[in-house]
Amino acid sequence: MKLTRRSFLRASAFAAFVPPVFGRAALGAAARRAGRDQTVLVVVELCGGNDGLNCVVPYADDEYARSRFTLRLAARQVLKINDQLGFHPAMAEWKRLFDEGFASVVQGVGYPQSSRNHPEAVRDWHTARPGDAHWPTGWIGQIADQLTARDAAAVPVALIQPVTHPVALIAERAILPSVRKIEDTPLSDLAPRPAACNPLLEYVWRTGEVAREHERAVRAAASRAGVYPATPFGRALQIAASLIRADVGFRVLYVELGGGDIGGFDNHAGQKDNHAALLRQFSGGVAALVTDLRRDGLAERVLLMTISEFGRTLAENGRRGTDHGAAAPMFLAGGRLRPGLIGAPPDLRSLDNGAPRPHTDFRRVYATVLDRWLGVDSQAILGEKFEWLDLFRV
Amino acid sequence: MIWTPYQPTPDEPWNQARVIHLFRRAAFGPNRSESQRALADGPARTIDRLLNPPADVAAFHREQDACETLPLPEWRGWWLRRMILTPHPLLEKMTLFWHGYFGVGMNRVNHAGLLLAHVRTLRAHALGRFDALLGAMTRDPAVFLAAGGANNPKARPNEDFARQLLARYTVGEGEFTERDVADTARAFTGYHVRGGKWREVPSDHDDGPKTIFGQTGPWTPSDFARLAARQLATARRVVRALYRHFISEEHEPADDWIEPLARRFATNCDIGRLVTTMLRSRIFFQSPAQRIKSPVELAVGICRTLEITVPTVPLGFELAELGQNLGQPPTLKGWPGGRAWINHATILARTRLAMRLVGNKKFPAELFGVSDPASPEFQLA
Amino acid sequence: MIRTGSRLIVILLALATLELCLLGVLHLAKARRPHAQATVSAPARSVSFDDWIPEQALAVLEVSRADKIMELAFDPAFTGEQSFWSQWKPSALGWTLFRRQLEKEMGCDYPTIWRRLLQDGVVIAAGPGQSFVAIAQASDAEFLQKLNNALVAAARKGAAGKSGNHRVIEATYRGAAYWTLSAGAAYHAILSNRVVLANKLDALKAVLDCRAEAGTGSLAKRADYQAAKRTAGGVATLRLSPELRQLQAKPKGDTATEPNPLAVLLFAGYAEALKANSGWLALGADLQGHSLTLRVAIDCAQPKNAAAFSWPPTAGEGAWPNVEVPRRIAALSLYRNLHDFYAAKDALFPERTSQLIFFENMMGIFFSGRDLTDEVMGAVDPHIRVVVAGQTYDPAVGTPAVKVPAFAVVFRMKNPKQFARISEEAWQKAFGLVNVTRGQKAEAGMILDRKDYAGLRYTFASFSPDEEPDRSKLDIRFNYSPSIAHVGEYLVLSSTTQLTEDLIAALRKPAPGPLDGVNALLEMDGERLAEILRINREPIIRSNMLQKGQNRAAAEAELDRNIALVRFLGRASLRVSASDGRIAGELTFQLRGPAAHKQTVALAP
Repeated sequence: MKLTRRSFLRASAFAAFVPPVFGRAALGAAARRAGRDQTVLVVVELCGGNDGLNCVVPYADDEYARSRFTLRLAARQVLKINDQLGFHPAMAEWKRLFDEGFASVVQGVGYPQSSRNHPEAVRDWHTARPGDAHWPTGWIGQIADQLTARDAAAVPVALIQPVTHPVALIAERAILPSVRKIEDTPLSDLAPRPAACNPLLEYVWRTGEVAREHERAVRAAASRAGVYPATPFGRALQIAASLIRADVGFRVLYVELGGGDIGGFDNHAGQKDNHAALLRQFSGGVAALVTDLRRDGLAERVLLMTISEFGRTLAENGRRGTDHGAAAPMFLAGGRLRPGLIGAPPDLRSLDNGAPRPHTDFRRVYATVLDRWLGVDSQAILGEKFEWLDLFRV
Repeated sequence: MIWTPYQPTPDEPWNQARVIHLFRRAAFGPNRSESQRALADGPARTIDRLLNPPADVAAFHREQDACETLPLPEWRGWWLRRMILTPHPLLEKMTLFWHGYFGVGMNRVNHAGLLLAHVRTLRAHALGRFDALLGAMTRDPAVFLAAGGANNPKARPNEDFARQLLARYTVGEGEFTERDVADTARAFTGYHVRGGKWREVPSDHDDGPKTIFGQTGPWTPSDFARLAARQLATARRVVRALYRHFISEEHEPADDWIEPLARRFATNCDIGRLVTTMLRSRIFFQSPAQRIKSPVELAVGICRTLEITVPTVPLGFELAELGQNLGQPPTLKGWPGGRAWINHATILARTRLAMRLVGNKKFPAELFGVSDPASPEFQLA
Repeated sequence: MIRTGSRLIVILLALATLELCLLGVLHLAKARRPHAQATVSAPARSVSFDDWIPEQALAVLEVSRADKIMELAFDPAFTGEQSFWSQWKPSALGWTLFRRQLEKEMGCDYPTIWRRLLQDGVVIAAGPGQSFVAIAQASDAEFLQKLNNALVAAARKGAAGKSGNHRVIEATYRGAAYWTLSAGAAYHAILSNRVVLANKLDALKAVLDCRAEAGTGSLAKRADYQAAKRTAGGVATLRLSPELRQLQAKPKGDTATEPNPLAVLLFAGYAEALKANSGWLALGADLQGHSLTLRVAIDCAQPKNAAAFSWPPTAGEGAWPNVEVPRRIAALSLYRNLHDFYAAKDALFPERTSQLIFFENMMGIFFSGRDLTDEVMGAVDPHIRVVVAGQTYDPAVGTPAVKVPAFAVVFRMKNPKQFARISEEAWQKAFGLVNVTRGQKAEAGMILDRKDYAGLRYTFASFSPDEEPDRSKLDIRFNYSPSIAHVGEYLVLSSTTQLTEDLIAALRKPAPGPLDGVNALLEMDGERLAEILRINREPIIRSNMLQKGQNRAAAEAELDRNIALVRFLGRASLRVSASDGRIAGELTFQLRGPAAHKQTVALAP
């Protein structure tokens, strides 16, 4: 199953309407101009259900200390945010971003009667229609359908690295590429199209021209890549940065951490080292991405957001691990955030079946991101209106 | 009058270009011997051969059926292999058409064995009778699972399922009433999918009178199929879908083009005759380069014309990346097709795939009607 | 440069293997004739070319029995129309005429010319920048001179008619005359009874330099090369240049996949050794009767770092001999300290793949939260044995359509009384979970039961064939009846009850002593493996047709070729061991001659 590649392009309304007589150069320039104002969302899925309580640690809370014998992180170990909460020691680079104002955390996110079963919970987060077993498309796929409604040639969404498409990216019409590496052998240029009056041929020819130009732009951007950790997650973010820098019309990029399926965050046993290793990867990768984007002045256009199918239980389960829970934090990184902690930390004394209760519906985060960041109609995608959160700087 | 058959004339001669056009639409593309024989035989005989090939098709399918294995990637590879080797390519094209029409896929079915059986059922009826096809679908566990009809208890008739049956598979949006939905749901009560099998539970079936499409009776799922197949609205939808599939994806046909075919189809439900009428018509032969090749058509077309077989399991994955994952259409609406196949990502990937399949072999431009596999013309059908 | 190096190694390894396989084939061909069986091992006359080979050589292959190869190459049984060689014979008329002319001038036939040319041995060396030299010692100087004159004259005559490519140039360098017959594509020099052939002029000159300076700057003066030659037995020596060594240490480019823990368990010890070695890799070969042995030796000590888990720490320790069971197809005996392996997992595979997490989650459940490293991995000692054997099918139960051999793993428990109970509980939990999962997917489950064999009670799980319509073509799951047995201090995990019972019998025999220094011993029976391929012919052919896109005829031909090859290779064993600062691998084939193919080993009654 090793399919490689992909090309990219640009989701510009201009590209659809410019008559071929203007030639390639004009096409590219117009497209590029429109792109500068477009924001990008990078979605990182933490597969398996992330243990939020050991990421944003309530180190001063007795209840936390009492419930976790081997997994407990003490005051002297955590990276303190305030006198109640601190980050996991493996998240040093994340903490640095946080202190500099390029990261924030939305606490206590979940949804009512949330599922604690992997496939169902994943489906709920990916379709944004909890409880509906038959909803056919994913929320990001719907973004793609909305953005390609005006221009069928556009490719606003890409999946980076894995082969299987997550449910989130199932779209009715749009075909979304998997980018596993930057294609380095260019295709030969197209011959100029002889005059003929077949609009369909016109469309194919023009799409090919723009596609080749976009591929060139991405190759050029990739050669200016920054330094990323040598982990698959780091490499994925490096590719993401190149796609963003190339400015070819991507609006949403999707990356998985933890390997899909049951997922590396699903630590029912021996959680300590495994979770730490993953957080280190996450932290290092995101910090590298933000640094790289800041260098090119792109950080203000990018928002990174994590999703995870559920949080985990407060108490350890006797196998030095934790079981499926409900509420968990969502991590945000980017150049236009209102930094700090958003929302109250989960209440450890009012548990639902062993896990802290969520107080913020994840669809509120989605709605905020869809409407205020991407400029896409959230109600059409989520099915109802959700109240926004105050996530961004003015 | 609209659908008068094409007759070769000096202005519209039976030439290589038309042969290629016919084979590209009705099959996956001609190879050398097919092309030569078609030129000699003329359009009518060639179309007859495409509908009823002289080869022992039954034996071919028996052999292929015996080889077919799961899981999904292997099954996909076997189907692609079948398409490449089949003596009856029109049947495979129609099977693919119905696969997209019903939009049943692994996202919702989850049992690959059910999908295998579903596609075999489609193949059995692909050029046969539409009422038989619809009847088979109303007994197919894969269809029930895909459309949300796994459970149909008498106490709570499954109206979501009924709505899908009416809107997606038969008369279409706006052509049915809420009464139709309610009573269709009641017709299906007592028919469930349990353990991957379609089961009839007579005690759970509501056998009272139901009114569907204005006709009242103690309807069961097979009655629903019979009634729906004969609705003019259903026929119009199928005819339009076949128009899009065989004639043009760019041009929306006028109602008076569709009406005569729809009336006849609603009466006799004969898919083969409908397809023949379309393929024989002047309209058909006047519409080259009006469709985009689907990824399967692109790849299988190259293999059949060059007469090569390729490892089809990896090909299945590549075609999935191009947007056509056999066995997993994105939604019940199937693959939208047309311009949706071509975007800035897929155009280059499709070009690379075509060039890779052609490889170092000599490219027979006279069989493709195009001089270069990397050209945009090659993407059109 | 680096890719060139590995290509060179591949070419030389291929040449070496080819030479030795040819020797093997030749020997079998001779066996058909009524000659005495000669053993072809150490060369009768060992001529050393070391003092002529420049020390920049990256790889050196000494072909010491070239005469035997020539005999083989011209044996009519092997040079006929359908033979292996016929595809390489040039068939142009011009070539035939030239050959006739040469034979007339030299006064002997073509095969003899070759034999005399390479009579005393030939060596091929590869150097930097894709340069190759070959040095051969012929029967006598006069013969060589005559041959050279004939070739040069013929080349001059040919060049007279054309221009450019076929220009013949003659020159001298440091007292030796050299020619090119093809305007620089190749150069050769004649020095009394030796001929030197090179594809680049610089390489030829380097050899002539070494000769002129009595071996200074040649490999004869390199102690490490000489040492490596001695260890291998002198048939071929390959040098790993420092650049090549560094390549092996680096991960393969940006698309490195996460290391597979199982692969790390098996191969980490060898990968570390390759990284740390002194620079020479020696290959040797031996042919005794029907037994062909290939040897690889690396000059380096056992690693002491994270990969130390795969080597016996003290002398006298090592893997045990393989278990003998009826119908055995393959067996692998390992020395791997699982406790140390898992304790070093951060260093060995830092990526936390989802498979690893899943494994830990499951082990946590099965072992009720016990610490995986200390209490589970540490509960067995480093002697691990795996065995694969053909199975026979009970007609009362039925025969599956695809016939999978039985396989089992045997561990030795450090604390049998305690761990027997712990492992039994874990096993039952595991298969209970398998049953529940199958039930969720509406698939048939297994019945857990216990039974007695030879006074020992063991637990197994099996599928019931009662509802199956066709007992002669059952689903693949009917190949499996997983079981667990505790035979004294041994823990046996097997895929079938039949293999469990065979192992119970085998393990009751007296315990063997360890094989000193050995950390892996793999044994395979080609005949039995061929039998498995044969009984699964149809599924294999179908899979081949699908995966490779071939038609049936091509798929069948490929399968038949593979079966023939596997049978020819007969019994094979691979033994990897460490001793005296050297790590050595020995691959032995008990080749089967044509007569032996007539007997077939039946796996099913």
